[in-house]
Amino acid sequence: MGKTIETDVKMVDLSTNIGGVVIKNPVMTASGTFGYGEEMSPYIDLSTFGAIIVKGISLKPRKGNPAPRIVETPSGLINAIGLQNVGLDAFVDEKLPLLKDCGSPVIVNIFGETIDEYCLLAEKLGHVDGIAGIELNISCPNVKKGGMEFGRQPEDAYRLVRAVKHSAKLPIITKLSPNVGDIREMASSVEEAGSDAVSLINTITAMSIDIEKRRPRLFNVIGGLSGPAIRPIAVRMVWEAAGAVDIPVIGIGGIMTYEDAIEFIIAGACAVQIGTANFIDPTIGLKVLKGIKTYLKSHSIQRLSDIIGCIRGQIYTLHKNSNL
Amino acid sequence: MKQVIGKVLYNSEISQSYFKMGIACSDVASSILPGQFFMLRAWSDTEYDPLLNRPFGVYRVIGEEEGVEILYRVVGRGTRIMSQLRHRDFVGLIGPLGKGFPIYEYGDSVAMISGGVGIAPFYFFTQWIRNKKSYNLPITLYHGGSGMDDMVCIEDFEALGVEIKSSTEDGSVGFKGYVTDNLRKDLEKKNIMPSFMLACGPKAMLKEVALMALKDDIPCFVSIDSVMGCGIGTCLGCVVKTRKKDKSKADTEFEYTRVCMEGPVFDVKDILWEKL
Repeated sequence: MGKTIETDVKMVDLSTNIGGVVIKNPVMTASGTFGYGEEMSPYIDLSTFGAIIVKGISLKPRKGNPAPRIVETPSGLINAIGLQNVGLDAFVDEKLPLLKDCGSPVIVNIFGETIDEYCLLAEKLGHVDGIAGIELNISCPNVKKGGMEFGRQPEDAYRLVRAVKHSAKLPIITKLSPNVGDIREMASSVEEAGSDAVSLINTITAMSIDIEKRRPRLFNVIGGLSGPAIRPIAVRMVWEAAGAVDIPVIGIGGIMTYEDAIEFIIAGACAVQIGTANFIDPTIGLKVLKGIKTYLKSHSIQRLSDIIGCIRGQIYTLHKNSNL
Repeated sequence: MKQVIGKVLYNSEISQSYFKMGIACSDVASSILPGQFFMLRAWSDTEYDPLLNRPFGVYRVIGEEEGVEILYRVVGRGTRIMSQLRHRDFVGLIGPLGKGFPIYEYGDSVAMISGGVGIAPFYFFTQWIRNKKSYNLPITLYHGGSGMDDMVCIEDFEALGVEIKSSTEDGSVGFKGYVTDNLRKDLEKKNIMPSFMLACGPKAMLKEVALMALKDDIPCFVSIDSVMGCGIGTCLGCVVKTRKKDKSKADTEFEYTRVCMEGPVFDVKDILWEKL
């Protein structure tokens, strides 16, 4: 009996194409929540994923922020890690060898403080074997604009993506910040600049105060909120972004279960990234993947693509037919 | 390290807000080294508030390596939920994690210094020393707290032949003052000159102990308690400032090191105490 179900489940087509990266299933890891893979390999088979997106990399190593770096809030986690990472060279020499043969495509999340830094990173990664794509973290402060993030204004994001696209041979996913006026404008401008896909949302800027000590709980005062607390906001933004662009949209934000992942897919996401949930259960990726397969099977859906953004037409019809 | 479900065997309050919880988890109990810890989830994995698992040291391995006993103090929401668990309830466990106390010869004598619930990892360490190394090694425990309620588990240590030096801030038990003052008094009088010192407790206490150890050139290891996001090395939330491993840069440069992976036990020489 169990065997029959397993065979049937395998027949569901979960594959999708994210801007030139063919992925076997829609479950990815979110940057900064899966280390460089080696930390998670004792718990989960790294070949499980549609893609592994590794901790953000800069040209030079970065120390990160002083502690306290994290604080738990209701159904959420605020972090201000400060983009601590080993730098490009150590990543390629020490971390990539395990990852590139792991059985899942590797997408490298990159960030810089100037457009030139982003471009140089993208160009160098283009010459390295075993990398399927690049995810641009545009929530990094732009040194030339006095620390204003690249991802806050559509025109800044456009310039950055355009320049990186010119330097990179690899497919580019732009990771959008939710801390903007209109997510549709941001998504459209990076699409126009040549981004092959968008992923969203990055963390929402947030703050927590210790009222006994009358001090901020994070050394950095402000951090980024993740976890189930932000999921409804993320679903709304994925819905809006998917309505505004034709490139693939990857949904991120507080996914804890397969039901959460399906919600993002119905809203218009071709794939999802699991973030904070990895901290709680390092096997969560496999559980979400199995849940998605079972869901599709039990609803007699042959292909995942049949339900991507499937409510769009329905809502139009519903509204048209209503007397409101 | 493994991810397992443990069954609560008992969960009893042994002193005001201090609890001992026995957990059946035979899959992992046999591989624990002294000073290692577990990430524990005392609530369902579909409940997200509180969101994160919590780190706990192992007080001792129970039965024929069939489970662990955890000593904890109720300080917040997570531990309050934990304190309400009963026999036959389930907890999620990931572990054993981190690098524990160094495993080598401990010389002629060991002094363990603990504050409050920081006493927790030392019982398993002492058991291990008694079983694996030397039954007769003189071990002294300097244990401090604010009052009588913090003087937990003392009889367990006495039964293993540990000399106890208690201190309380209110003077209700033993030396009146901080545990570090009690230790300093003995070190200055040369009442003791341990070959090794091990400490676990609040960061301010660890810093005092570390400075004494460095001054007197006594090898010293501290177990650092840190807020952890994941406990398995991915979130980088639990870091402490350490000297660069590259010795030529060790005095001028520092790096942030994960307590969960490279710790929780650190050589005091590796930590930048002035920045802690």
